[in-house]
Amino acid sequence: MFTVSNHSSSIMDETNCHKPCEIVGKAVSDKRKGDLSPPMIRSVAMSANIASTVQDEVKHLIKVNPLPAESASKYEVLRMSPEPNEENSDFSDTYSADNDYPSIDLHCISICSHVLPNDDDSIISAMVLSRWDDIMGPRTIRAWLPENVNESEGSSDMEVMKFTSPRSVKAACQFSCPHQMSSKVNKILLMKAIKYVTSHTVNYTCVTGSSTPEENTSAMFVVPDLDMVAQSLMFHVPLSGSSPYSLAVLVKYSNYSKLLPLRKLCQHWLERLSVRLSDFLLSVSDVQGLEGVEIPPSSMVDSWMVEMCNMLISLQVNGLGELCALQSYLSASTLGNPIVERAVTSHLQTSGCTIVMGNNTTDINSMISFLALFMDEEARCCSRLVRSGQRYTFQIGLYLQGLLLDEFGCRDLSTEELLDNPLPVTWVDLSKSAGIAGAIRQGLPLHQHQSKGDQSESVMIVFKEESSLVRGLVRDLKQLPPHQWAGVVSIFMQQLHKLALTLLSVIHWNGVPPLTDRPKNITDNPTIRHLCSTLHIDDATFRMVLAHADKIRPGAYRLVMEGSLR
Amino acid sequence: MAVTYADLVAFGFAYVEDNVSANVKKHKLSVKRSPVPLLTSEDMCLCEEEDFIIFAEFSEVKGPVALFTVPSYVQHDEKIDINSFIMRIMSVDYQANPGGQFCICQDTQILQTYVSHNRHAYVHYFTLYDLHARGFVRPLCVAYVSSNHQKLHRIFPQLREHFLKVTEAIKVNNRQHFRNEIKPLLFSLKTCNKDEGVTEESQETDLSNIISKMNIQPGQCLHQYEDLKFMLTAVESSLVGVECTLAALDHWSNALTYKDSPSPKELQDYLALISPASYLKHMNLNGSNCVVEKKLRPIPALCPWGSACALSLLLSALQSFGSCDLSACLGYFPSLSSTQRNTTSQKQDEPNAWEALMKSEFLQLLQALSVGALEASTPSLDEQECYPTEGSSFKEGGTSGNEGSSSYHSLSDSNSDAKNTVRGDSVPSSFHVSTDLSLESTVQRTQERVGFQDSFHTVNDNSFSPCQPPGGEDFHSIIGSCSSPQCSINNNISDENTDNSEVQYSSTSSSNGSESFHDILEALHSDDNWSLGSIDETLPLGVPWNQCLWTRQKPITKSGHRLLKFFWTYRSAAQHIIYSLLMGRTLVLTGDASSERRVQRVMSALSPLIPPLDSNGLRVLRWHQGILVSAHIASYQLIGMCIPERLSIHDMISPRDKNSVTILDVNTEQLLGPAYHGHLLAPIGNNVRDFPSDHSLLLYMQSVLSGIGRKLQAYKALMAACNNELPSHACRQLDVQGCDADIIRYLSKISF
Repeated sequence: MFTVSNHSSSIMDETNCHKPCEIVGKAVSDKRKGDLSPPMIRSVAMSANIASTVQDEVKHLIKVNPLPAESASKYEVLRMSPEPNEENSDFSDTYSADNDYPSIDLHCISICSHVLPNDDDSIISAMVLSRWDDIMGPRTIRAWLPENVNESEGSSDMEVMKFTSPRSVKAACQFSCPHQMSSKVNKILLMKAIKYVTSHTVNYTCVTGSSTPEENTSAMFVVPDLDMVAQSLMFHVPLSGSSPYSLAVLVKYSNYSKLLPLRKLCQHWLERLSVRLSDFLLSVSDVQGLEGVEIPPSSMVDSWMVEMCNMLISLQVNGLGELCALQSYLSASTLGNPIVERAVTSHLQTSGCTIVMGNNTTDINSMISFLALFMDEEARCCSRLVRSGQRYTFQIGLYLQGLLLDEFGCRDLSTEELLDNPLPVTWVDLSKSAGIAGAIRQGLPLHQHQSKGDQSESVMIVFKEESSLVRGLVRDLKQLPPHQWAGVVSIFMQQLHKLALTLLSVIHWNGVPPLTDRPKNITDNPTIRHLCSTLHIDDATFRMVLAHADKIRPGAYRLVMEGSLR
Repeated sequence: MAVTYADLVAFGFAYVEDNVSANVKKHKLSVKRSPVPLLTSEDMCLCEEEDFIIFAEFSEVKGPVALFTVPSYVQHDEKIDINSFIMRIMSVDYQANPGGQFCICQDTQILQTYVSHNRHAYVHYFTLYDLHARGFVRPLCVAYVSSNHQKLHRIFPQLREHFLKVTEAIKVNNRQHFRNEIKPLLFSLKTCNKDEGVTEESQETDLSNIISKMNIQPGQCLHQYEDLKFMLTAVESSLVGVECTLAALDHWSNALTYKDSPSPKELQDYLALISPASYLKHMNLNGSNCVVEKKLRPIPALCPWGSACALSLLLSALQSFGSCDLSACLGYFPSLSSTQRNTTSQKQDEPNAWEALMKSEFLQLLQALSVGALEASTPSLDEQECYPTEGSSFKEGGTSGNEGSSSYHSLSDSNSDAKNTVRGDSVPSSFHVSTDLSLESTVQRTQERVGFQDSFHTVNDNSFSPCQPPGGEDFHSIIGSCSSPQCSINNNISDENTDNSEVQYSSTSSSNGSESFHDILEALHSDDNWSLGSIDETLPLGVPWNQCLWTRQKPITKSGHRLLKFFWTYRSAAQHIIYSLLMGRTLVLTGDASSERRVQRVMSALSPLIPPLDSNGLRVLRWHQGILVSAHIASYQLIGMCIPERLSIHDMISPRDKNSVTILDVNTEQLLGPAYHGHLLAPIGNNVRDFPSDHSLLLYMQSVLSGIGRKLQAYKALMAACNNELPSHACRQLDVQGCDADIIRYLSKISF
């Protein structure tokens, strides 16, 4: 398995030192072409049988196992045909060449980057970029793996040998807890999982498929036999013709329940990464052409993947989690803050996407946990608190997030990141410096945020509205102890939900007349004026309802704001 | 960009150039995806394309084959290309361990968007074991297909749980079956080993047959024996700890084979299909008539009770997941406590076989399964040679079924039925050797089919007449004959609005403000008038119903229908009436002997706004003739009352009782009762008349009730916090006064 070929081990050093590769120089690529044979992983689109006939001729194909049998599993395994693979002496470092698991050489193959953080809280076990090749079928182009995969030699040889036969691997998967398996087995499973994801995300159906390039097929895989849950996204690189790419996040099966609420977030990150990657691939292809050449290791791309892992780790460490756990952060002083009505109004208008910043961890966390009462389970799982001593930056796609301002009252926040967020953002500044008037700011309205066509001068607008509905709610909550808030707020959200459904029903029945000229102010829009009076709510509440309706039925926001879609 | 940057700097936010992605960013903004809107058309909801389930097998002879679909007519829908769909979901081997050694595979689940055009699928792959199949496996999948990927993503965890349950029943049953097959085989191999002299011909059992089918060479007996033994161990160990499923399977096998009652034809067919005898006979017949080819047993034969159980679970899956995510439960008084959400998701019981056998859908599926399974396991060659006329005659059958029926459902029914018969017609040519049940049943089926179609005509004729929308005629009659002063008011309104709306329709661009935005004419007159229509209908009161809000269907004969009309008719009284209902006062609707229907309809319209006192529903006295006494008032929330001619309400009820009820004369619109002043019901003002339909108004009323519920929840919480002292104090703290306090206090007393 670990066949160390001479030249590739020399390459390995280069891979590991991560040569910065923002600009792919011609010289570098030429050098690569010279001394690097194409990397050794090829996933096979064909069935196992075909593959095994091919494997003799093409050495770098993943070989399919010819089944050596061992009698080491739990139940009695009978040896059918003794095979001469007993020389396990050199097992410490490499598998024998005969023992052919889908062997990506974890040490030295250039397509693997061991860069992902190896943290107990990290749920990502690999990220995989694959491409459909018209001749070779699905190919894994690059895999990003946790840092430690190559240093897990703690297990004894005996243990390793125990799991070298496929049957016993299978047995081990089924009859023992996954975490008890040796790291070698984990590795084998991981390699199989990578192959699986590659061959299932880019296969012939995506070339012959009816889906247009705009409809990026996304998929979620749950494969307990490979100890894998994966989420993938197919994308197209504009210049490379028809061949589709896919990017996938692999997670251990034991993390299935952790991944579930994060699916939307991961989906968004995959989309974002895919856009970046396709750009990167374009720039690479400018230099050396894409066909037949792997993408060079690039610390820039690596860092994107690491960023995603870190974001997910921060959610595991400081995520909001269960509603009842939040109770401890709630404090009555939050409601004493004069900005709270505006904060909630804007929070709901931006569909729960809010940054809370301040100098004090406790203040931030109590505000976050209060705003979290207005969100559903899934959005809560994609939100995080702050912890003193930890320096988090703004992460795209999260719902509620706290930012601790440094001693100068500053925080890094880029306009483009705010614009790139799938939803417009509310920001709540709890620090005294901002003053009460400018404490709440809000991004562009959803429809403008999504279209991005006309960028107005200011991205974050000072927000001064208060919804009467929210005012009434906060007034009631002030009379109640914090542990009673959740029940009242949940009924408030029911009310909002019903209003949103009502709104959808009304616009369905009445239709939305097209706007002749764009009104300057939301209140000038006759449609909205009429809807407000029908639903008996004010403008601020209306936009809360509309944002909620857009969550139920994407596109509703734009429909109401801009008239009919046709 | 410079501007935005400067803007941020001005507010004290340092923008740090991110060296990682700086050069990529420029590009990124232009390529950024905006989410694909689900709301593309104003006229159609995604739920118009119904969800369905495909159960498919990867046949080793024919490739991917659909065995059946739920609902069954989907399979014959020309708009849905089932074959290309399953090609897409089964083209790649989704089992984690393709080929290789025998092992018990776990299920693989995949959610894939845009499988074909606009359909997305949750696909659940699993494997059954069959001694005669290649590699001993029968790869299968069951896919839940929907055109709403947002919904599919949302319900993915629940779908997975549910389908794991579905396949668990099949798999466990299959493994039992598999184990039972291996055991005797092992035994015979053992004896075969012991004395090589005993040839297979000397054993007159089925087993020898099977052995020969499996092409076991005499020399390989030992090898085969050990292989089988290994399989047996693996299968047996996988059957440990599944007692619950085993019990469920027992339940199903008992129910399906219960002899006392005459079982339906579909069930008989199914039982015939799964009996081992039918399979052997099938093999023999095919062997004699057609090309000798390996022929696998149909899937139900591998797991007879499991597949029946799975069928019923699939039906329930479609029921619980098939509803549109824009639908809302309406027509009843909503629960105003905060613990409502989790009760709805947890009412899935084990499927009951007895109940399932009563359902025609289930029987239909059984039938489809039997047919589909036969087709799948029949090699294509075989089919062509043995049933050369099938294609053409099938079409004939289809069209003949079509003659009488116009509705889609019935077409497919008769289609599948016709298909059966056709098969039955042509099968005897190959089946003629056997003179048993199956032949009789085909003949019988043919006769039945004829009868069936006849009856179909009549059913259709009958069903057509009530379906004719009576709206058109009614509409005219409203305009033409308005005897009561009530109607004339309506008429005036409608006349005004007719003008309005005509203008509106002719020039849609002249949309200025609120009036053109809304179509009052439709709201008022597409519904029936208060007093027209059939007398016999018993309108439901406070019964929940579900409907996608993105359709224009009217909730006719559902509670809450005509609520909009109620607000138009009793515009000045409406708010006060609702106040009375919410504070627990009995509402008496009075009218003369001819107004019974009108009273019924007002009751039905109002029923979603009446808080039920217990789980038994509302307490209603639909039509009372005679004097009203206090016992009535104490035990009913809503009373319809007949006021005979020349009498008034004052003659029918004592003055004391009169003060404890609210009385509405449905004809004169006169209201006797307390007036409302307050905040809670303020949203039910004149704005209510702007609503375009009962549906949207009902949704709105629920939101108003939720608003009251929020106050109520705060009130309860406050009472709990201060140990139930001084309700008036709590009300004051929450700024609930006067009439609002009445409502809150009453609602807090009743538990619902």
